[in-house]
Amino acid sequence: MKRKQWCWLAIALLHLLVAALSAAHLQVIFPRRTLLAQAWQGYGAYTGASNIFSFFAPEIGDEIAVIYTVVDRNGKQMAVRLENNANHERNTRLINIYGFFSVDEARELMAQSCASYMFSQIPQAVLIRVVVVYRAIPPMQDYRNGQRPRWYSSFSRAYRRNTDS
Amino acid sequence: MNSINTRISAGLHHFFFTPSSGRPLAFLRIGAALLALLQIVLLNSSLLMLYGRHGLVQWLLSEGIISDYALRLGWIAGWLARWNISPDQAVMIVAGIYTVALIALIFGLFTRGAALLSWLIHFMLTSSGFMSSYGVETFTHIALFYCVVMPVGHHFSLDARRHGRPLFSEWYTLSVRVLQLHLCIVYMATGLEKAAGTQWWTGEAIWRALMQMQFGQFDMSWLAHYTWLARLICWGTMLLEISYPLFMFHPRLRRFGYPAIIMLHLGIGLFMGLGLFAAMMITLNTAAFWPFKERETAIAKSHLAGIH
Repeated sequence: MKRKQWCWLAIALLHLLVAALSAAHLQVIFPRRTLLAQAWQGYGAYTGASNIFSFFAPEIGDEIAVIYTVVDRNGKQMAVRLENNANHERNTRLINIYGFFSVDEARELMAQSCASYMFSQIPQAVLIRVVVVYRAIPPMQDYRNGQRPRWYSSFSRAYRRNTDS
Repeated sequence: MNSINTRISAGLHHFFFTPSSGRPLAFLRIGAALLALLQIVLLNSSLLMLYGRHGLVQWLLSEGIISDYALRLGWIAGWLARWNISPDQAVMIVAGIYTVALIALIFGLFTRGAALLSWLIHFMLTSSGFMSSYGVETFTHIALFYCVVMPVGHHFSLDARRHGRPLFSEWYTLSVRVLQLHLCIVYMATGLEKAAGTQWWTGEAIWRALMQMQFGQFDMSWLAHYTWLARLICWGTMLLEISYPLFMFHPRLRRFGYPAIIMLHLGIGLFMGLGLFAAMMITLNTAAFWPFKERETAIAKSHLAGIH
């Protein structure tokens, strides 16, 4: 093979090696914060070679949803769900966002951020309650025995509009 | 020893550098860019909610988590602010440039530049809005990166009309091989990840997925009475994914492997509503493994002629 071919082949194989090691969760072989680790992560992030492919794996958890209870100045309440749109692509992305409510450290910040967005969308709202709910799906055998999917609440926070601003 | 080295070198050359058609790469370019365009059109009315500074996940939160080196919308918004352009307007401008770049990429006009712009903007959007990203973004990013570095504009493009390109090239083969091997990594990894969970062995995984309101397109509750079918689907999926290299590289098995993978993704699109994801995977698989006549012919001819 010509030298040029060897060079490009080596680059291609290195790229695939990054992809393979990342997919195998082996990024941790490099100590964090080292130059090599940063270069690896940067390269992987830009090229898409650092992905982990755990679609629907290893387990599929309960379905998540967020209900916004909006209260206006007159005390009138309404429940809003953003992911019930006809646009499936939009809904899928919303549910992905809501998935971060399952991360303990992110939950409070996520609720604040979502409530803030809802205040910007509903000017008449004075209070918004963010309720995170999960839908538990019974195993097939339990379903055959009469059990049905059920919703349960996991987290709730209420936010009042800051009238000073 | 020299003989072994020569044989390895010849084998590598034959696998990676036997000249083949560039049409699969054109298919990759057009398919990936079309799907990315469709995606941005579908999300047009939700762009600010998903990617805006004060969207559902504010930049303060999302951009605070991503790596320091990741491109982000906040940088562009900060730069455009000097012309009194608001962050929301900046997002719309970026989306507009992305749309134009994707259209140019589809037609193969200034292909490399259009691919570069599409790839960088896509990365920017998915960095700032990483919490909303799912599989389709992952593979769009990979496909757009390959559009930047691979000769995807040599066929079915306005650039090719202007400049003229070879019908066969060793660089087309290397590019397609990289795509093929990357897909092998993807499918094997996802298959092994599934095999690590119990739900994929008991059949509960497909049951739980189809019973979720976000994915369920039809009432699939009847599946609870056919546990064997749920198990068969799960086992079949794992077998197909883990054995993907075998199914796709073995010429005889590919006759079954390729349609089976396409059926798998059509099933995901139809029964789980993940149409864009399914279409992107079908595009990647087709670009990588569809037996484009020219490719096969060229490989066969060079093999017969003993070109190494």
